[in-house]
Amino acid sequence: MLFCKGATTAKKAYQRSVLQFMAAYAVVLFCSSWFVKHDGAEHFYLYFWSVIPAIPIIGVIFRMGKYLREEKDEYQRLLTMQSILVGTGALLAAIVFNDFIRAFAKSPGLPPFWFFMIFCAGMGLTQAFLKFRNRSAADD
Amino acid sequence: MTNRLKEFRQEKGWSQQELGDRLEISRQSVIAIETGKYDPSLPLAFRLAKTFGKKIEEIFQDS
Repeated sequence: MLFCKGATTAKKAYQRSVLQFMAAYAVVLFCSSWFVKHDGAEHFYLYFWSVIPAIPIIGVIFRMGKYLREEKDEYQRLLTMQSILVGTGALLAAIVFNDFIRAFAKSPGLPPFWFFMIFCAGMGLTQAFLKFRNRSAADD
Repeated sequence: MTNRLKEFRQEKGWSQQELGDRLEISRQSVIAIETGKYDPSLPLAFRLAKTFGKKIEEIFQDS
């Protein structure tokens, strides 16, 4: 796969797992949306179908931790930790802003699903920046 | 910290990828060490020294 080019063995395994989790997420999200909309799910089943799509996302978070444990290339591990740190910082900043806006401005705040997207965006942009910074120093 | 990694690598005629393969690290990591953006841990510095048949202090100098 193109995006695996030059990646370590641990990173390739991590990327494969993330793809599998994302495929599972797409299927589960479709099923949940369908059941909630068409089946008129109530009470227990409503909670059940609401929680199920979160499981693959939690799986991705778990897999990040496993990757950090498996990665033998210490520099790659450092880059990943830096990008997770930036993602977490962006996430916490968004939560704090959101809470103050809700508390003082009585605004509904950010729509659902934004927080994980903010974390992923922070992490992804940091990884892209670090990769670009290194690429400029490649000599062969 | 400065290092002579690039010089020793070129003496051997190895590419950054080849050196990375020998050390079981990525090419990106080799670039970061060569350019001084990343100082390797002691175990990796020992592996580097062993790969080139040099002493650690021949490769890395305190600037």
